[in-house]
Amino acid sequence: MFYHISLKHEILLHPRYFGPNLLDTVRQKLLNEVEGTCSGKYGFIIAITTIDTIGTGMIQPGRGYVIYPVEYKAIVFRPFKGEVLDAVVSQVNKIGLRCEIGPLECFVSRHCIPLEMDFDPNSASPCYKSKDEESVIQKNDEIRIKIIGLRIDATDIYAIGTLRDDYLGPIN
Amino acid sequence: MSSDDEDFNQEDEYQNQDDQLNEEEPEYYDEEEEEEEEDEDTRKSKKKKKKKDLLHQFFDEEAEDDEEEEEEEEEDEAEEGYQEVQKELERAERSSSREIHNHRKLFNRMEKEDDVREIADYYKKRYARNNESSRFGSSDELSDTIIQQQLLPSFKDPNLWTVKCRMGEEKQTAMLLMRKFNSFLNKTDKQPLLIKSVIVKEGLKGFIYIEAYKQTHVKTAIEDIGNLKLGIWKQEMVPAKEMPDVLKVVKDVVKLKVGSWVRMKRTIYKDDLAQVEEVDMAQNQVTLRLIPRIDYTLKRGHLRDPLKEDDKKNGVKRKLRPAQKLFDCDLVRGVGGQPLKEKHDDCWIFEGNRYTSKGFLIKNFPLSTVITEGVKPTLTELQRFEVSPDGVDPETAALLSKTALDKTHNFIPGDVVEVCQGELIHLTGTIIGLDGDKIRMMPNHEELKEPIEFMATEVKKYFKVGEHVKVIGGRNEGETGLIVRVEDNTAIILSDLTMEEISVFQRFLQLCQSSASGVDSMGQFEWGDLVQIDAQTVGVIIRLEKEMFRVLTMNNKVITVNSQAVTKKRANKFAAALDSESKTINVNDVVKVIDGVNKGQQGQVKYLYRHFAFLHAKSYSENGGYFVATTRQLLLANNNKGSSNGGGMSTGGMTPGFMSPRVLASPMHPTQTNSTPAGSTTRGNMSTGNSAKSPQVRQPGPPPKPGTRRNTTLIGKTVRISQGPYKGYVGIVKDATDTTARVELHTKCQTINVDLQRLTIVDGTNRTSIRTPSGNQFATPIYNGGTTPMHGGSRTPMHGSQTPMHDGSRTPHYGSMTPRADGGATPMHERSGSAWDPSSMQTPRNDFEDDWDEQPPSASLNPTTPGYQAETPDAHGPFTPGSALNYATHSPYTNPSPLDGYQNQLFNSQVPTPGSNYTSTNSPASFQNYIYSPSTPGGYFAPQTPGANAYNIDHYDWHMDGLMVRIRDSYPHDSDLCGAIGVIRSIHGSQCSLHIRDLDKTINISLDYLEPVLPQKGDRVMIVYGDDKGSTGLLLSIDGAEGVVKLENRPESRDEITMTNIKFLCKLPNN
Repeated sequence: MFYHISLKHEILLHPRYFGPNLLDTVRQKLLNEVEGTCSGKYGFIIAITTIDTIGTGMIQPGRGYVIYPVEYKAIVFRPFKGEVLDAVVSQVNKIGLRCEIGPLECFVSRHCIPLEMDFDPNSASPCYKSKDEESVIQKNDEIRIKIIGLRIDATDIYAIGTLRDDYLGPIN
Repeated sequence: MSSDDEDFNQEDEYQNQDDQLNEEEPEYYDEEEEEEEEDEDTRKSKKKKKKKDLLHQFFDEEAEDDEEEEEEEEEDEAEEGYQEVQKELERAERSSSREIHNHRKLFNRMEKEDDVREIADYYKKRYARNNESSRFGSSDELSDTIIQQQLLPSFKDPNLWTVKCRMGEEKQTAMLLMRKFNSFLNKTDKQPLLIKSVIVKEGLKGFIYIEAYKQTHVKTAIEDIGNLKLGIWKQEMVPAKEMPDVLKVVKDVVKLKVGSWVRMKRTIYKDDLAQVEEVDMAQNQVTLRLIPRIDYTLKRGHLRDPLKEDDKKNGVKRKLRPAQKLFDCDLVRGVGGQPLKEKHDDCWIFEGNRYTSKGFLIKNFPLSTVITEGVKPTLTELQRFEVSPDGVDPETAALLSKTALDKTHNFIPGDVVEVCQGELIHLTGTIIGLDGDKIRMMPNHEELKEPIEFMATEVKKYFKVGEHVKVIGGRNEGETGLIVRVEDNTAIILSDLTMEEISVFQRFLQLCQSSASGVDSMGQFEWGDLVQIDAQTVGVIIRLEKEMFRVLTMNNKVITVNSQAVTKKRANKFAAALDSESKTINVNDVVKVIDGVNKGQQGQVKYLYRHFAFLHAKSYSENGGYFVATTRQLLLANNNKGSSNGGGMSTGGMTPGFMSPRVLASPMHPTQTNSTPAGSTTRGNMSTGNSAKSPQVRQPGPPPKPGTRRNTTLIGKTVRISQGPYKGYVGIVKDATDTTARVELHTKCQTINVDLQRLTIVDGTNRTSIRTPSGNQFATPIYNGGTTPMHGGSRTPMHGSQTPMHDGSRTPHYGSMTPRADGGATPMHERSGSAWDPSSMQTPRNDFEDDWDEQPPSASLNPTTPGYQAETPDAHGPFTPGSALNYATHSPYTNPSPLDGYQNQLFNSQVPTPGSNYTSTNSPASFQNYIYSPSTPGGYFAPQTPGANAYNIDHYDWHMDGLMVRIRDSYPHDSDLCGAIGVIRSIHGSQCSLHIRDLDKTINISLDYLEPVLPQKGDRVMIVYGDDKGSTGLLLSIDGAEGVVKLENRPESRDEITMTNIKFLCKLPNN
């Protein structure tokens, strides 16, 4: 799920950037440091929309570096258990398939793939397909999955999904 | 001792009379019956009887279990037992003959003791008992308790004395006492012992009981027995009340349920797993279902070999027991057996045993032959039961977790459990408390608000798909993962670490937040470690199991090894190998596999071992993402890592901004220079080695080579530690090798060893990090100082130009072009300048000194002097008179040397457009100016380098409006004006209008004839040259050749006070 939330970050700046463009540097650095990262709490920070305040910088004693507290608003993507999402299959093998939901990696175990779909290692690209070959999942296909579990670390989120539910599977 | 003994035993017997009664009933046992049912009086002595020693009857071993059976099965005989029909016939006869036999035995014993009264007593008791409660189950009027009370010892009975005994020798001591008793009995000269019995209680260590009327009797009995020395002084009497307790045996209530798992204690099925089919507690019988062990090699029926049969009769037994195998009708027929099909039951009967259609053996066993507690069936065993043709027995799986739980359940508060039996089945809840086997659970149910208590066996753990769990038992202990599927008793989890799916019993799971660290139980090995398996083989740990590792060897095989069998192999960080295109691969490089089994994979090099590379790719689904390839099957994925193939100047990951200084960093090491005067080949090596380093390494000096060498360039430097626990600390390098440095910290009184990669050099002034361009600028001279003299020594331009040829990266052409492409930092100037330009010899003094002794004295030494710039790479540095003087004296421009010419040539030839810049002025200053491109910070100070400028300041365009100037003596037009001082009003081309205050007239004069008026202390001045050109200020003081100027109208960021060579100051009129 996507959220637009207010977040805080601290920018550590080398003294060589002290100058007329200092605040620009802070802004640039914020974008570099924050966008595209993931925090376990808020999820993947997709984009910074606005930078609300850049606080007063505090020079670090003995180092000369300065720390700027920055408040900004960002769009974050936080997956939840039970959420249904569209994903792109990135890898197919006998233990299941791996797919990507934007920045989120998700694994769909073969135990979570409908029973009627079997792994076919012999086709051109390995795939899961039903016996009548009506539905096939192979690499780069778009599928709809439901997240059944999340492993959330401090800096990473990993999901496992299932296809065994209504309306899940390949998107045509 | 004798008959009292018997009496005493009887008490015991009576207590368990009910049980005995059951056993008295004639029963059928299909085993070979050498042992027979015996009267209760003798049953306990049967083991002694075997020893054919009559006396052993008197030795009474404590009963282990009241329910112990009289009958013992003879091993191996079961299968070949009599036909059932035959046994049926024998049965009645046997039981009666057995009784007669026993009575006779007993009577014999009595007679021997010729104590008639005792015998009478015995019979009295015996028959009294028979009257009271019929042996054959006739109705019983008196309650058990009354019977029991009658049997309790009274004050007339002998007492029990506890005697301390040596630990573990209890039984031997009892035997010894018996022997003593016996020998004393037969000897006339000794008083027979007056003790009645000796009792050893199983499980009671360090004590025996002696039954006697008086303590003195006990004392005499234990005299001279070494094992009892401990108890010779003190014997404690057991109070009459407690005497029954001594011999009371706690009856274990066997909780055997149909379907539970048991193990066999005896018979050929010893240790086999069996499932309970039927329990007959009354008869102490269980019907078990187990996998038969039929000897299919033994010929039966008409195929029988008479010879072998003889052997058997003679007591020669088979050593090997047949393997477990489900009953196979065809095989049995094949060896001559004739299994009978039972009509009503769909069973086979063969040699008296029943076999189900699935092939299991169904057989009765006495309870004593099975182990019921702590039976933990292994998966394989269970599978054998499950993999019966008719499919899985649902009970099997359901009971699986229960059996293992028995007593050592592993619930903890907080576990979510599900009730799996009883009326609340399927209720889930959270455990809130534990009390032994009792579990208090808060149910997850709207209606149920109160905690409920359950037995541990009544609940099982409950998990849902998607939960993050940790494995707390079994083979995969320690793993963590996400549940992808929950089955009856197992769950399939996706391991966090290896991304593999593993099947684990739910009872071994526990909810958990954290991820497995992947460290083994000893903390010695970690997942993904490189280990040495044997002298030739190494491998990477891809799975940590209890005690065992799964290791992917360099031969691409997965083997399982014991954790003790491997040693950790230290991975060489600097290991390098050549890929298919002969490019160097280092650890952590990303490579593509272009050949072999893993063709097409892309991964990161984790370890290099000989020509094998262990690669890791997240997308690789097996072996935790690790796979092996030979380095020749690899191709470096990102090609910007050109360091080793000689072409590029760039190193992967280095930002362009930092590029140029890097190039400039001549790799020469002073010490090395000294030792190799003709350093051309060394140079080649150097640059390779240097560029192979990670971008942050400002490691001067040679590539990693075996052996340590002191890195003198670093010693004395102030450094900052950039990584690790000491990150941020600043210190001084006390000693250094090529890889590590000993750093004395500023803050702590401590000297630590730090990896050079973790150091950044901080110079003495204001530069914080060597990573800044200025820092590099600073770093450069270090090398230059070392290198130049060498070149100076050889002096030939050829030498200089040849060297680069050796090493592509150092070719001047390369040098001039590549960096430009990289970041426009124009390092080529610096490069050439640093390497071959004597005018940029900014050797720090210490280096210079280092070199001093060893350098051949030559003119080339001189140019190194100005190297002081390195120490104060500051705009003002060069203007010290000393340096200026030095420079003036030794300047190659005043004393032109071949080198000088060479340089001119070099620049002219290699740089496309230096011409104008270079030729426009002959002054060394401009030359310098050219060398140091303004884009590098060093450019600031470059122009001032030659102090000789002071004498030639007129070459500069310093004139400005408002300056006070003096007309030179060389002014030809009007000698009166020579020496006159005026103020420039305006400048037009090369002429200016000068207002001479003394004469109060304005003249036009050529700029060439003017020179600045040197200011005095307190004068207002303008800086006419240098960084602050055009600035005005107050000359505060004069310090040697330097003037201290307080500047006016300075921007905030700049210093107000500056030191400037006084020659670059011009007096302003005081108005």
